[in-house]
Amino acid sequence: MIDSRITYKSYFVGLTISIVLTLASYFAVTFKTFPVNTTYGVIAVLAVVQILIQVIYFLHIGSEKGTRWNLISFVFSLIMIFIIVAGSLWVMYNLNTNMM
Amino acid sequence: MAHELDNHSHEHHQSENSIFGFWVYIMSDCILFSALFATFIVLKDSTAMGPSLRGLFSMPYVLTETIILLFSSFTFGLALLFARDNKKCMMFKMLGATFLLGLAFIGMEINEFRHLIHEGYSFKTNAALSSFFTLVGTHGLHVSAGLFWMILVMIHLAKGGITTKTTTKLYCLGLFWHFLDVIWVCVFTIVYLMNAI
Repeated sequence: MIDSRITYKSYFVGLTISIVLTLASYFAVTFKTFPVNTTYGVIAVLAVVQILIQVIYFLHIGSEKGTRWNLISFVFSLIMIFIIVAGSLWVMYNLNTNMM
Repeated sequence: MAHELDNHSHEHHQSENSIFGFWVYIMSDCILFSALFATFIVLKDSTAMGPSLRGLFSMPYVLTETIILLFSSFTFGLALLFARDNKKCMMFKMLGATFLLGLAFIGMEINEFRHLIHEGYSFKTNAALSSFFTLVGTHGLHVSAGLFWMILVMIHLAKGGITTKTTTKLYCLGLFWHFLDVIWVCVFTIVYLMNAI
C-alpha cells in the first residue's frame, strides 16, 4: 500500500517548498509588499500552490497505481466544495446588496 | 502454498478497500470544512458594531503553530516510509515526534482561545467570532482526535509488529494527518492572513 517508489527525499522536498510558501505569504502580508487587492490574490495563489504541493508530495494522489478512484472522488469533492463555497458567497453577497 | 498466496492477496485487497473507504470519509470531511469556511467568509465582518477581527490575532504566534503542524505532517510521512522499510525503532521515534508536535500545536491553540476569551472575545460575542471558533475549533478537535488515534495505532504497532493490518491503520491515520495540515493551510490563509492585510 505504501508505494516502493516513494522516497524519503520527496518528504524533504515537500517540507522545504511548503515552508518557503508559508513564509512568502506571511511576509507578503506583514511587510505589506503589494497593494491590498494584489496581496489577496498573491496569498490565495500561494495557498493553492501549497495545497497542490502537499497533495503531491505528502498524500501522493494520482502517483500510485490503483488509486484511480481516489483521484476521481477527490475531483468530485473539489466540485462539491466549489459549489458550496462559491454558491454561498454568491447568494449571500446578493442578499446583502439587495437588502441595503 | 496456494492457499497462503490466496490469503495474502485477500488481505491485500481488504486493506486497499479500507483505505479507499477511509479516503471517501476524508473527502466528506473536506466538504464539512468547506461549509464552515463559507460560513466564516460570510460572517467575518458581522461583529455587531464591536471591533473587527482585524488585528485580533498575534501573527508570529500563528506562524509558529503553522510551522509546527507542517513539521508534524513531515515526520508522519517519514514514519510511514520507515514502516514500509521495516525500521521499527525509527518509525516509533518519528511517530513520537509527530505526537509531541501535534500536542504542542493543540496546546498553542487552546492557549490562544483562552487568551481571546480572557480579553472578552468569546464565541458568544458576535457572529464573526462564533464562526471563527467553530471553524478553528473543529480543526483543533480533529487534531485532538488524531492524537488519541495515534496512541491507539502505536499500541497496535508495538503489540502486533509491522504487518499488513497494522500498516493499513497507520496509513489511514497518515491520510488523516496530512489532510489536517492541508486544511490548516486554508485556515492560515483565509482566517489569519486575510484578516491581517
